[in-house]
Amino acid sequence: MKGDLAVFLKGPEGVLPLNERAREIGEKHLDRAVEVELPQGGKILIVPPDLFEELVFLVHDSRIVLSSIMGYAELLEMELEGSKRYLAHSIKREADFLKRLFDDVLLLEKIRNGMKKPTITEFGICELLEEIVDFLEPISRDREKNLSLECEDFEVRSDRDLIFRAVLNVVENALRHSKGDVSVKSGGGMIEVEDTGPALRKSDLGKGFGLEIARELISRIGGEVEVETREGGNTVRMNLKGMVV
Amino acid sequence: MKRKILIVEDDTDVARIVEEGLRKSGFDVATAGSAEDALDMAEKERFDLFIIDIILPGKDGKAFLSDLRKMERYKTAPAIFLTALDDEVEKVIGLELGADDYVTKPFSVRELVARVKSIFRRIEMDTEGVNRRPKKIYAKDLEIDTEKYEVKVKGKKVNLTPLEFDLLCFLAENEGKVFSREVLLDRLWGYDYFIDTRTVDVHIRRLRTKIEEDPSKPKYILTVRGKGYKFSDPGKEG
Repeated sequence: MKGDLAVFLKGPEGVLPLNERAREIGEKHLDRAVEVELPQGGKILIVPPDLFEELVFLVHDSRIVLSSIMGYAELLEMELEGSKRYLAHSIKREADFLKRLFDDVLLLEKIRNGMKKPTITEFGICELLEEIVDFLEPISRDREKNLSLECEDFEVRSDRDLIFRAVLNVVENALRHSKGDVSVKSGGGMIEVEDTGPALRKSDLGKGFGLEIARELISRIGGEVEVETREGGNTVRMNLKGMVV
Repeated sequence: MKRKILIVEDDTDVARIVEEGLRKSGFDVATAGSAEDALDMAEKERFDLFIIDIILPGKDGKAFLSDLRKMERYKTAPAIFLTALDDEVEKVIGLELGADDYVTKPFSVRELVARVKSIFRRIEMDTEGVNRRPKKIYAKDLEIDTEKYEVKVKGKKVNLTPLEFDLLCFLAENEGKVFSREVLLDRLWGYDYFIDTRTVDVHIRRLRTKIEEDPSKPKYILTVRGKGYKFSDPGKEG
């Protein structure tokens, strides 16, 4: 099975697969192996499953179902009136959020495999941030939170779509999980997203996921993401200084 | 009389969603699960537009469209491709193969309906011969021919989908006037409620990559911060 551990015996003659998964994957993933010394001498190598690979597999399958959910919700929305219509719209909006996360995972896979190269253009950061704030306006209204933008413009030479997705992830996460308002600021090659808690912990898987995607997307194009967690809120700083023109 | 649309799609859920969406928007709709069935149906009945999934069991969507176009009455029948491949290359191919537009899965039903309406709007204008628009709009290197639905940049023809063309025309005819995303959605997409304004941004970006020399520094379609978009003739400045 894909999700099984692969176990190898490490002897003087080399590496010997001990279970089915080990035979399946061969020796190509040994760089990820954990070495365990046996009390009676000798060593075994354990290769954990590649979680990202599993995730991509899951995402591919779920995307089809998700698109049906979105379609049916949209049909309901066309059919209903008033507050019921708003409920149908909410289903679609939430499914759309999930779809965007899925799209990001698939994009990340393409980037990791070298199937997608960045598309580099020059663009102003304020226009991008305004587009994001505009896009999230219905969600902030729905959650009765204020989403503010204080924009000091700078020009960047980079992949606009990647930055858009990364920043959208960070701001949307803040908006969905913060207790109160969210503010977005820019200037001097930095973008800062500040929320009013609760503080992010490593164990906050759902909350951290969008952030992890943002972190990798930004680092792939030479930027950096830093999270500062304190009592009463979090600040995510995206450093794009290396891309400023 | 109601316009009749044939959906050629083997995925039951997608077919049902598209069928319902179009029906609610006032169209007559039929569905075929394969290219072979669709050709049979197209012979027996007359359809005004085809929505075709590219990947089908047996004969694929591209082969279906070329077979269809061999029939006298469907020589110029409008078609929209559905594709699961979000590859830019595939999109270009979609238009080159003679489809009028393409939609990438997963897609919004209303977006698809808007594109269908945009194609029919064009046909109506042609058949009624009522074209109140000026024939040609010039703006520096850009030339828009509203009668032939042709756009040229520096004399070179650019491939626009009907909706992209409508959007460009609408902005160009109202040169200098700023339109909010909501107004554009209402005028061109016909949305009335809970709008997703990003749809407009996506189309504007696509349009810019097709007509602007440097899409990140647009000269024709300008963003007006916090307000929306406007068309500008760069030749008139300075």
